[in-house]
Order: sequence, then C-alpha cells, then structure tokens
Amino acid sequence: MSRDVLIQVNHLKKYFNVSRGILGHHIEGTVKAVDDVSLSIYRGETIGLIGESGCGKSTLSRVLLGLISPTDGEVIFEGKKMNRKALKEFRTRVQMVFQDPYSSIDPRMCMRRIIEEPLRIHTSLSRSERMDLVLPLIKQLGFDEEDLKKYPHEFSGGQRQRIGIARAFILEPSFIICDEPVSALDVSIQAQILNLFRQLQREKGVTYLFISHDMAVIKHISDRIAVMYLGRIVELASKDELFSDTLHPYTKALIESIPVPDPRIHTSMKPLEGELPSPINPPSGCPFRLRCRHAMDICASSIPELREIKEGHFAACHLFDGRS
Amino acid sequence: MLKYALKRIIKALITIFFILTLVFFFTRMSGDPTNWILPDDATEEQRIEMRHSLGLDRPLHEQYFEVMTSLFTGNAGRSYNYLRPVSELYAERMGATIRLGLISFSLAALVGVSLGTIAAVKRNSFFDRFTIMISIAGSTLPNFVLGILLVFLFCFVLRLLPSGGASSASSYIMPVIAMAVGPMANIARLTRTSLLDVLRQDYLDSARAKGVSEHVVLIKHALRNALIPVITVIGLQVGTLVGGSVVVETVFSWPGIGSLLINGAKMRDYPIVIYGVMLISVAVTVMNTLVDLSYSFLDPRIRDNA
Amino acid sequence: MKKQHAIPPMIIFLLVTFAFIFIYSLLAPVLYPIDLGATDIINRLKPPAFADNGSSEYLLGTDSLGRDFFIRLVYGTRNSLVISLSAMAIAVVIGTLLGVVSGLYEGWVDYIISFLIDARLSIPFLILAIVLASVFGSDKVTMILIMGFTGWATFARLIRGQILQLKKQNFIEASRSMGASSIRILFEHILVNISSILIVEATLRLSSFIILESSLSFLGLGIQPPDTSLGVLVSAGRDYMLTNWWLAIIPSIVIVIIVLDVSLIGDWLRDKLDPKLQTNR
Repeated sequence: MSRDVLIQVNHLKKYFNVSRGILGHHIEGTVKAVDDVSLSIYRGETIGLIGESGCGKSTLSRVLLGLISPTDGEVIFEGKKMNRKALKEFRTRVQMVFQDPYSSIDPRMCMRRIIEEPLRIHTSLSRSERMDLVLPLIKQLGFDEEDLKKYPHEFSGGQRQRIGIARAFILEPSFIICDEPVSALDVSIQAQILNLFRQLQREKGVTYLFISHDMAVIKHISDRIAVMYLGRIVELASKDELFSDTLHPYTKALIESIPVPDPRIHTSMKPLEGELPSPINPPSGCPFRLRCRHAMDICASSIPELREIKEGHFAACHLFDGRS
Repeated sequence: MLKYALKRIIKALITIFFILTLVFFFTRMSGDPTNWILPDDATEEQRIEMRHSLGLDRPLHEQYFEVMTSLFTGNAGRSYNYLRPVSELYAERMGATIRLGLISFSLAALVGVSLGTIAAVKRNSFFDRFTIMISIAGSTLPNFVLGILLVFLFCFVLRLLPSGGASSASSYIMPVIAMAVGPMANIARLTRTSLLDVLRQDYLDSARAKGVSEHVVLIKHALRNALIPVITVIGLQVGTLVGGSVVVETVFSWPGIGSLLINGAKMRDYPIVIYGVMLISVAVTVMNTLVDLSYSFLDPRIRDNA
Repeated sequence: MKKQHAIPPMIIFLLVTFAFIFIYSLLAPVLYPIDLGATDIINRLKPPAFADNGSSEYLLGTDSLGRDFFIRLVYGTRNSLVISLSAMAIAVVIGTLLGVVSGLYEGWVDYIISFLIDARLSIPFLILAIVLASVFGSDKVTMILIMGFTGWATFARLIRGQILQLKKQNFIEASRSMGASSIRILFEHILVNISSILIVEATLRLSSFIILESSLSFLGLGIQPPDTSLGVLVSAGRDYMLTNWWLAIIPSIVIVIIVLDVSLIGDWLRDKLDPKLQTNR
C-alpha cells in the first residue's frame, strides 16, 4: 500500500447548539458531535470507522462530504483545502453510499435515471454517451439492460443497494464514503455486498471510508480501523495490530462483542455496561470513564489526547500515559 | 403544561389581531364610504357631516386602534346603514345564532359519534355501508342546497313546517338539520376509522383474554382511545358550522348574526363586517386552542414535544 | 406485487358523467349563442316539457323573465365549473409554492408561512371570501382571484408536511452530496414525489371550491345577474318554489350531482394512492 495521503483531516470540529423557544433563542447546550478529529486517509486503502450510534460517525461523514460545514478545522483533499470554491470539483471526486437502500434512492425514478443522475449534474453528455458509461457498470454489478427501466419498488433491498453503489461509482470517484451500507440488509446479502465493494476497489483503485457499528463487518472489509466514541477518535491502528494488541478499553469491549459462531469457545464476554452518555452534557475528562473498568482519578480531570503509542497505533487513554 | 397553554393563548391572540388588521386595511382600500351611503347628489356638507358622525374623519391610526381594542371594549364604531353601534346590533342577534349553533353542534357530535361507533362495531354490515354513503353525501352537500331541498320537501310538498323565521320550536328543525348534517358526517366518518384502528390493537385482545365483557372492552378501552382524534375533528367543525350559519340563516331568514354579516357585506357596511369577522375568528380560534389544549392533556406525547 | 390498474366501472361512469357535463357546458356559447341579458316577459314562467301543459320549445321552461331555463342552466354550470377550476389552479400554485418554501427552509421563513397558514385557517373559507367579495366586487376574474387567494392554505399545509417527510429521506441528501443544485432537487425529486398526493388533494378539494362559488353566488356576493351560475339560479328560483319548483330544485340537483361526482372520484383516488394500502413500498 502506498503512503500517498488522499485526505488529511486536521482538528475537525462540528458542534450543534441545542436550542428551544420560538426563535431558538434559549441555547440549552452544545452537542460536540465531532470533537477535534485528526486523521489521514491513504490512497487505495479502506479505513473502517466504528462506533455506537450517536457517536458522531455520521456527522463526520457529512462534514467530509461537504454537506455540513465544520465548526472548526480543515479537510485537505488531494492537496487542496476544501472550501466552497473547491466544492464543485470535489463533488465529482467524492461519493457516498447510504445506509438505507429504501430511502436513499428516489422511488419515482427508474434505475437508469437514478444511476445517471451524477452524470446529468456534472457532465453534458448525451443520452447515448451516458448509456455507454452506465451499461458496462451495471453489467459488472449483475444487472441486465432491461432492469434500467424498472422502478425501485421492483427491486430487493440488496439490489437497491447495488443501484446505490452503481450511482456512487458512475463518475469514477477517488474516494467513497460508505455509511453503514450493509446494516439495513439481510445477513445473507451483507457478505455479497461487502465482497462487491472489495472487488470494485481492486478494479478501480478507489479509497473507502467504511462506517459501521458492527465490528464483524469492519473487520471483514478494513485495512485500518478508527474507533470513535462521543465525537472523538479513541484508537486508530491497522486491522491486524488493532486485533492483536488492543489498547483502548472501549475497543476491547467492542471486539468482545463480536459473536463467536462456535458454542464450545467460551469467551470472556463482558458486555458494555450502561448507556452512551448524553452528548449534551458529556462527563468531564475522558468521555468513556463512566463505563470503563479501568477508570482512574486522572480520567475525571483531563481528556486523554490521541497519541501514537506504537508505530502506526494511536490511542487516547490515560492507561498508556507512560508508554510511547 | 401551563407554559404550553400560555403560549397557545398568546399565539391565538396574535392570530386574531393579524386577521383584524388585514380586514381593516382591506376595507379601507375601497374608498370613501359616503360615495355609496349617500345619494349621488348629496352636497359636500352632507358628506362631511356623515363622515364626522361615523368617525371617519379621525386619523387612520385612531380608527385602527378602536377596531383593535374592540375585542375588549366592545366598541367598534357605528354601522353605516343602521347608524347604530355595531356591538348593539350584534348583541341583539347573537342569541338566535348561538341557540341554533349549540343545538346543531350537540346534535352533530352526538349522532356523529353514535353512527360512527355502530358502523365500526358492525363493520361491513348494511348499516355500515349506509353510514359511509350518508357521510360522503352529507360532508359534500353544500348546506344551502340541503336547505332548499328541505324547504321544498317539508314546506311545499308535505306542508309540515314553516319556511323561515324563528317564531316557534318547529322552525328550528330545518335550520338545525341543514347546519348539522355536514359536521355530523365528518364526525361519523372519523369516529368509524379511528375506532376501527383501535379495535385492531392487541391490548383489546388482552383485555378480552382477562375476561372483560365485550361491552366494557368497547366502551372503556376502545372508545376512550378512539375519541382522541375525534375530539380534534369535533373542534374543527366549529369553523364549518360558523361558515354554514351564514348560509343557513340566509336560506331560512333566521334573525341571527350570519344574516346580519351577509347584509353588511352586500351593502359594504364595513363596521358590521369587521365586527362579524372578529366575533367569528375569536370563536374559531378559542375552539381550536381548547382542542389543542385538551388534546395535549389527553395525549402526553404532544405536550412533551411542544 | 403488480399494482391493479383496472378502473372500477363505477368510477368510469363518474368520470364520463363529469366529462360530459364539463364539455357540454364549455360548449354553451357555441351551442346556444344568445344574449344572457335578453328577456321575453310575455313567455315568462313557462312550464318545462315534462309538465302536463309544457311544450317542447322550452325543455325546462322559462324563468321569471321569460329566458330559456335550460340554456341558463348550461351557462350557469359553465361559469361555476370554470371559476372553481381556475380558482383551484391558483390555490394549488400558491399553496405548493408556499408549502415547498416553508418545508425546505426551516427557521423564520417557515415560521412566518406557518403562521399565515394558521391565521388563514382560523377563519372559515366562506367568511373570508365574503369579506373580500364585499370589498373588491365580484366580476368573474375578481371572483377567481378571491377564491384562489383564500383557498391556498390547505394545500400549503399538506405540501409542507410532505416536504418535511421527504427531507428525512436520504435521496434528497444523496442528490445534494452529488452536487445537485437546489433547483434540480426541487424539480427532479421533490415536485415529482409530491405530485400524486397533490392531484388527490386537488380532486378532493375541487368540490369545496364549487360549493364556495355557488354559496357566494347564492348569497348575492358572487356572479351578478344577468350573468348566471348555479348559485344564482338557485337563489332566483327560491321565490317561485310554490308554483315553479323546478327553477330552484333542478340547479340544486345539478350541484349535488357535480359535487358528489367529484368527491367520489377524489375518494377513490385517495384510496388508490394511500401509502397504507400499498403493499410494495
């Protein structure tokens, strides 16, 4: 894998004000949906982003897509800082595959119009020129030319998700954000779609940011894994490193939560206790300390920084304050 | 809860003032009223005299202020034609309209809920189909047409009832029917759908499983839940009734505020129009606000989201 | 999984009836090129052809000024339908525009439009139209404008709700993430998706526009004689109910037929497009 940086994220923050009242004048609190996230994504890799729902992974993906503007921090894409001016160009290079294959495609458009929508937005190709691009792609994804006339309700969930994937690939982007693209699908279809993602990556050399709350899925697809908790990245390492030498207690809990298919193997499974704390009033210090088995005094007073503990292995936990 | 109620009331007041402001400025857009009150050959002195006696020579903002506060003071100027305070004119005729409205409203609610309940319980029976037919017809028929057909049948063919006025008890029959049928049909239709929805829920089966008798299940468990949306619709019928009363009062020469408003509008007697609009928007808004509040009282989910 | 596209015979009958009434009345000036104001006092209040002493010269007899009542009925139907349909078209356009804007832009724009919707709905359709007719008069065009500018609120509220629901669907966000402009999203996704519900609502509401027009005319605040509409005919016929009952009853029945026809078609359309009844979505 080359170490060519595709996207550099620096100290990205996205805060939402929670307000009440007719004019929204009573600001009740601030949700730090994304809090000081820094991350490098390399060309051609798949980086998995895992966390519970509500941890800010969807907000992070929408900031990266430019759908919402960050409160602070910057995103550098292919060497250019992302801003309003660069957005148009950026849109052709970055695409997204959405979680829900039912609501992410327009029920009133036929498959052909769904897939060629990006072409109609960004190019002035004629109808037949567009078809020249669409046809080979859908054949690769297992559709027939006939299917192009059909409407979404005539397809199954897995087929709809493949339509969503075709739409994301039609402009040949360099970066695709996959926001839980398999979590709404049957387990039997999940593996099929995941393999499709890998096959397309081999052929097109695309980079993925793959978001999921399911550690088994993340383990299957990722080269590197980032673990997110309450708006912060708490651990970041290559897949093998993360599983062989898990550092952060939260990551350990997530890994233990992967179901083991063999009933004879007894895992030391201790499920996470408690709920994700309210993001409006997160605990002081380390956000995870209330659910952490190893919580210490220092955890209540200072937020641990994400530091490189071993080469290429980052963690944000006071347990490793001595190491580095 | 109190805060929510307060908020709804303030919003209702703002709404009423907004409507009054609009109507006030609309009516001032049609020029000098003396042009159509006085004969064409009236002298300039007579016109000035007329304007003065109607208070039209005062600055606009004073007139506007008077209209806006009429809600509390009852003083909203004098009618162009009757040359009497409009509040007096309305007070004289208010009783007849309120009596007619209350009777029609109670009848619509009672019969509507009963019809809807029986139709839902005896689903797909002849009675159910009959109720659906009646409610479609009833909710679409314009009430002046209904009134005319009633008059034709009961006065001219059967010669049973007086064709107009409010002189005896029997003169209430036709106006009440003409006014109540539309709202009744809407209420019946909604009660039926709402009750059918509730009857499908599992908790009724669990009540039956506990050995609760079918009547108790229906009344205590099903109807109580089904009536929550019905209350909204019943409340919203007040608007329909008020609109309908204007027409029905004209058809049956009923001495109420509806016919006063219509005659005022025809003769461009704007003090009468403005006062009528104020009364109507107050009645409708108060009812809507009450429905909102009772709804949130019955269903805690709404209160918490407000 | 295939949807049933067969139209029930009852609905076909209703559609044909409405089409017949609409087209026949539209052709009135061609079929009966007369001056609506011309009177013939000698032949006043002639009985209709179906009465004992009626003649076939006047199919439905004549009115109090000796005018052929059938021709006036056709012209009246024409005016009622043309005015109601035009007013509804205006209301649909205004309502859709405000509803879309209000649904798309949260914050104060939405707040103001929602307030306007609530304010408008807190005073009955008919009452507001009466006030406006009293101020601005009631020739045909004014009437269309008055009805259009009072009837938009229910459409706006419906569309606003639809847009709020649509916004939760990811395909709008997906389109935005692909770089689609707001105009493109509006035309390609939003308007297409609300069109069917808009058609249903328009059909269901058409009857209330017809009722409003005939009520206003009946009250004397709408179409003015010698021009005519269904409400004007009923109102004029009232005075002769004892002797010439058909002058009031026949136009009343025409109103009933049109209104019921349109409502039943609207009801059927709504059931057909009701998401609860759709299995494959």
